[in-house]
Amino acid sequence: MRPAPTGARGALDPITAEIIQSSLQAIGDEMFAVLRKTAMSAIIYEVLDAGTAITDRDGKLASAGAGIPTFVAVLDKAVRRIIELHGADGFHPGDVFVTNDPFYGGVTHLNDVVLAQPVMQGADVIAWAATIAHFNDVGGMTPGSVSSDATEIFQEGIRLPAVKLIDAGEPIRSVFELIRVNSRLPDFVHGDLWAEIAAVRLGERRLLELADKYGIDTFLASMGSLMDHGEQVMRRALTRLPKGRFKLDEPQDDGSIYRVAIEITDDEFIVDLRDNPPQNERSANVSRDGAVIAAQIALMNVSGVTGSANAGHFAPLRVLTQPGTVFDPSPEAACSIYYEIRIRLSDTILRCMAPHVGERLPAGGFASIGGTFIGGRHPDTGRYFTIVEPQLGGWGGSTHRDGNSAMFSHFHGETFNCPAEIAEARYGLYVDRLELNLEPGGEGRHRGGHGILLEYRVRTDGCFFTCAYTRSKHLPWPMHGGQQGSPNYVEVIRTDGTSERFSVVTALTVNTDDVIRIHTGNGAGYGNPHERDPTLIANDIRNGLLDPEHAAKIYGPHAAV
Amino acid sequence: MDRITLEIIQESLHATSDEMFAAYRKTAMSAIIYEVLDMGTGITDAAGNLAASGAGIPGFVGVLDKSVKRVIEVNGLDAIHPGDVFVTNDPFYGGVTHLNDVVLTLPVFAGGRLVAWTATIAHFNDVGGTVPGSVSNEGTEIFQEGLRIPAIKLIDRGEPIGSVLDIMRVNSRLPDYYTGDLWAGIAAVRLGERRLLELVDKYGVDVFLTAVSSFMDYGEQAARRALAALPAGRYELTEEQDNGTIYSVSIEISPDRLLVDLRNNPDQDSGPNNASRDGVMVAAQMMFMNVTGIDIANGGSFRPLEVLTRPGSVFHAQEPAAMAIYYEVEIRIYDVMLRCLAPHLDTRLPAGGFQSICGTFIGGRHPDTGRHFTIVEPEIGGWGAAADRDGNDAIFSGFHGETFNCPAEIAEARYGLYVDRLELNLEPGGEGRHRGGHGILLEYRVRTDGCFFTCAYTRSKHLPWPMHGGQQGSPNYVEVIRTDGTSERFSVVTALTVNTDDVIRIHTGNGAGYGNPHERDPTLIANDIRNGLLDPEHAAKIYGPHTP
Repeated sequence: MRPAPTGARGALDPITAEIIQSSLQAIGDEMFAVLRKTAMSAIIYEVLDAGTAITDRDGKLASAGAGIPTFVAVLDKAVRRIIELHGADGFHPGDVFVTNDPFYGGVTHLNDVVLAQPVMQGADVIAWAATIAHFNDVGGMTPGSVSSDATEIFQEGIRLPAVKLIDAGEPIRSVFELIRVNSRLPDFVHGDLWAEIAAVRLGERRLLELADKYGIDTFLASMGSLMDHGEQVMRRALTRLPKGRFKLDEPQDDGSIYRVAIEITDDEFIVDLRDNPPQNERSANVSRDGAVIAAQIALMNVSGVTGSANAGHFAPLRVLTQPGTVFDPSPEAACSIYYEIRIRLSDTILRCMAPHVGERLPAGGFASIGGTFIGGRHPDTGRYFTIVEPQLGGWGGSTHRDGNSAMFSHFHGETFNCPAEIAEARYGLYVDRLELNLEPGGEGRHRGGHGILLEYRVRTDGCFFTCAYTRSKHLPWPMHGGQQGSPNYVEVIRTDGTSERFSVVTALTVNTDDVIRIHTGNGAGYGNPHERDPTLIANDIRNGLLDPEHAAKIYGPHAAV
Repeated sequence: MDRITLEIIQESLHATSDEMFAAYRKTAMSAIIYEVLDMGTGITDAAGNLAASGAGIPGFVGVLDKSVKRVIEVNGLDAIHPGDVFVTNDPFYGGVTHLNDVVLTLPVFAGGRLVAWTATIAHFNDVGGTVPGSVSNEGTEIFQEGLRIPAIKLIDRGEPIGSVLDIMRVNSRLPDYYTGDLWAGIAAVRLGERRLLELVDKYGVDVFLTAVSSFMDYGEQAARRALAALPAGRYELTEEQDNGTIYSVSIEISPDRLLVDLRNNPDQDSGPNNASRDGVMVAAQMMFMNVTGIDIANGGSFRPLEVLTRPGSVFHAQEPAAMAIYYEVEIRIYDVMLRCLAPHLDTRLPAGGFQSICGTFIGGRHPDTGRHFTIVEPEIGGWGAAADRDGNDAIFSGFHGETFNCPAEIAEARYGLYVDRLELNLEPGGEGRHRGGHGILLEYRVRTDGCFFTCAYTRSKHLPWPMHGGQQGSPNYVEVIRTDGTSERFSVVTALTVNTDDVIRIHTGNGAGYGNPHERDPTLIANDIRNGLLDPEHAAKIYGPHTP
């Protein structure tokens, strides 16, 4: 492999470098567009539960691409694992690798299928194009593959351990067949896989065009300088942060306690997670790579660095974990619900740092993925359907303004909720209601955003419902005298009028006309409610968001506008 | 064509199958293969018709021709090359049985022409899925039973496909064993290829092909001759099963055809008690061998056999049915077919035996090594009595053929538990002019906490069927005896937790009796008493006044 022309970096024309760097961003976006437009599953093309990225030849994130932030951050780790496992054999133009296994660079859980293609000029890898997308079903013990009851990763679907899917342009039929036949939705899996292939192949083509246009040395140098710049920005931001060791212990809904210790020095941001519970016997675990992602996202928030993240930004970050714990489980651990563990970790880090970084961070939001799974026979087509859906909820109030209402969590970024029309057609159920959640909670000088109230009514017998919400017992955390937010939970209302409340349940049977009513939390408030601007209170009352009686009780005498 | 040469080639095919069997056995890593011999080998012609029934479990050998046919169908002849090896374990892709049984098959090319296939099948201890050991009584979809391998290429022109090997390995809880057993199977099919090519070299490809096809024609003739000697007619039987369902069979025998109609049977099970059509065909083929009494099993000898099934029924399950317990379903219908015909075939067939695989699964952490272990074990039991003699004691079921039980020493070393007891089951049952063979009583005591125990025995409520006034046999069941002395009885249970010093006591049934017990030869009764197999008091009660 040709050495990187680091010496030339100083001589790099900054305009050219900027063009190349922006092109990388554009390529990531274009890959995303291709994935979106060619995918077969609504979870990809509507919800956008997907991500794209470009790494340098060593697997260092060069362009954060598009999609869910926590997904993009998977891709550099996946590429590095592929290099580790296959680098010795060498790569060929047209190779495509696949992984979904958290212990083989897949980072998250088996539903998220990562594809990565080396971009090659002659015999040299010059970059990697990579995508990740949630597949509706990868086999395993429950339809939809995600189960809060799983105790081993073998129960969660087919494991794809960073293997070659396409060999020098030639699809390996056996691997395609294995992936297809091990899914309850083989056509969708097949279609979504090819959509990802189209996206990485497009990324390859565009990257080669870029390298051709500007020359390989300039191309590589620009990528290097991009990361150098990222590192400089982060180090500068670090100097503005308070130095010291900050700790927080936070009890979780399941009774365990997560502990973070964050040490900030002049040149390091250390997240120490070693003192945490043993790995969960069920699927509430996140791989070490996943814990690193939580820390990366928290670092971006805490440092206030904006713009697209790359490997340079994370150079000062060090994450310490203890093997065998919930944040670094052993390789047979179930990981279905990794996403709740990871968002909890990220939220705990933010909560730990919030009091120490001035007014930079808002109060806690609903901060759950709200992962919701419904499946069964489609009443019109007789085919099997599976809804896989995160939920919208309320964000925390901040020093300047009220929290956002009905947004995906910060782990989700640029995703959309599935339109009711799509859900009804694709999944054969009714969306009876989607409105803001008006339960009390989250009041403050600036109030938290509102969660939602969403009702699904199924149309066939024998459907299943699975969810794993957190922040259902321990509520969103307020700042400076605000009120805590409200809980995330689900009511299942049977046709006989009885109802049950859940935050975690696996494969509950629901039958025709049973209603699944989803409540997501309001974010927590920021500042004393008594200090709230009466105009804002009046607005809320006028908009039907606030009951005048409740307003007087919470916001004090001046609420009576 | 010279008959001697043909005969030599035919015998060489058998010898090759046997040698493949020996190679597999000697190179496999798992005791379920090298000790229990839960495996089979075979050779087919270019189109997948069974040419040599090879060695191993009869129920397994009968799988292999069906696998080869499906491999050809799924991959197409254009994609099949010298040096390829294909793999399947999926009952909906030629795997016939359940996901634990991994079939390997290799096309043999001579001078660029496909002339035969070599094939192996073996039980793999763990192929992933919901429960350790992969076999569960509670599965409702095949996706829960492990990694599905749909008749795909594993080795491409001699070059292993790394991705496939890696995926298979990592989806097992016992990856080292899985890989080791897989390579043992590959060694066996490759050895078979070498031997067949030597045969082709020696005799020429045309002679080789003629020998294979003439052997099948000979099998067909033998079968038709035997059929013509059977009483023509239509025979029917319905039998209630332990789980409350009713299996029905109708068999029509004519001089040139034996037609088994299984269409009038329950819809497929929502659990794992299903068989594939291919699997039911294997059961019918075994019945056909028993009924006709021929000793040739090949693509020709089964030509007069026809089986009708209804798609969507328990004997022709459709995707995505769970299949883990297929073996009890197949052995049950095999037994129902024999029971249906037994009264009409004079003295040819014996009374019913314990006739369950008695699949027993125990797993957990090995107390000495800390590694995960899984026992996968069929159990031995008593066979039914026949017109001319008592039934065999402590033998595997008719489905199992040439397998062995795992020696206590191996079990204790490999699995880290104690084998406290293995003796004949002396419960009453199966008495007759000739009595059924005795089942066994086997005790395992586990040495670590948090082990699991799974089993799915049949003939636990509805007992082995007697003939001509004999007594029915005794049940197959398990007692789990806890350290506090409490005990529970099971015939079907999944992933029951057993802890240090808990005892798993396995009882397998006595076969049923043949003929009135009062007509039993007093010398035989005396022998049983002398051998400690019979209590004198019980003897007098059952065998009547002339008991010595």
